[in-house]
Amino acid sequence: MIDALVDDLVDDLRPVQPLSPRMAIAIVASITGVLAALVAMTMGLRADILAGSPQAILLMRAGVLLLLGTATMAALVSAARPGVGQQSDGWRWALGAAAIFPVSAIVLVLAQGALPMGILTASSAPYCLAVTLTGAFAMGAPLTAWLRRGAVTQPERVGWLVGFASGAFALFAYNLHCPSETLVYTGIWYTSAVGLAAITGRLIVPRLLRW
Amino acid sequence: MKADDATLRSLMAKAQAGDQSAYRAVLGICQDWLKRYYAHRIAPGAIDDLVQDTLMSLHKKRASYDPSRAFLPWLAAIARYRWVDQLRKTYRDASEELFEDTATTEPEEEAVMAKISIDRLMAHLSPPQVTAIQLVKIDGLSIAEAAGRCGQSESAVKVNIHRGVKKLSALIESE
Repeated sequence: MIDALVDDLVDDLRPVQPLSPRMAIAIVASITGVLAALVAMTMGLRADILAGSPQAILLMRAGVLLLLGTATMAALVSAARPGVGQQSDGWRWALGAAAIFPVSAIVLVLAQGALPMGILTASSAPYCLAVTLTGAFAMGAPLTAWLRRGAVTQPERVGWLVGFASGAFALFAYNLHCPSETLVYTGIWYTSAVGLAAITGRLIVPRLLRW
Repeated sequence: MKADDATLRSLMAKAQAGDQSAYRAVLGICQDWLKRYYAHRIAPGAIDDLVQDTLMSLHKKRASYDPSRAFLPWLAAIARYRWVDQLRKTYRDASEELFEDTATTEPEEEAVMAKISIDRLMAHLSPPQVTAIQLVKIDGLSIAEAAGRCGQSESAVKVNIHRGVKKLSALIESE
């Protein structure tokens, strides 16, 4: 029986191009670039960027989002080409580093002793969520198509990774416009935006990766 | 036939380029390797089927092999994924056979062996988790029926199933 199957598989053999991580990186880099350009053209860049003297909060957010996006991308690229004994847990550390924003926001809100109503009802918040989720979807869809060529053996984990990576890079693009200057805003709305992207990835992506 | 990893890497790279004789050699070596890999993991009568499933997965996913990396860890990852799948199926089938009292000699032996393998994993779970998984996932009761049967609340049944299955998956992944 197995010999007959081997004959069939050999007959069916066609050349294949080994799955290239460069393709996944190119997808994410190009969509992040396009999204950043769209944000700049339609919403405008922050004044401090235009003045050439970026604020610390902008740089911190950009750095953490790039770190989170890069670490989760590295893990999902690795997951598409599995191997027993292969470790790619760096993304957990990046996620831990990103937790500085929500944790700081909680501490600051507790210290102030009142809900930051102005931040909770900020007019920019819906844009933050909309740009992030739209961008994450635009990135996540081709990324998932690329992953389907791979051999993902942990679909649930990869679902989270797709959500975190695409959410982080999309939010990086929105950060170029984001008028907010506060840690509390970042802790609430940036965390919500990336968190929603990650949950969406976890819910949708695994069922598309089964084999 | 046995081969070292460097040979397998080279053969698989040629197979990805469409070399049929290299591919036949890879499949032959993988077949032997998979038989040994599964030998102590599932019932003997199920090994051939699982080897075939894994070879088909290897064929379908051959583009995911990176020729610059070792071959056997990649094969092992695919083999383990297929094994987990098989365990889930076997768990259901074995339980049906054992509970329906339709035993015949050889299938019963296989079912018992599979059951032993699963029971070994289930031994790592708490009794409420085992009960909840048994009633809902194996016996097919609804959450409400299972809650009434075992005296747990409906939300406790759901939580116990979720945590139990998660722990089972983690145990299998770590083996």
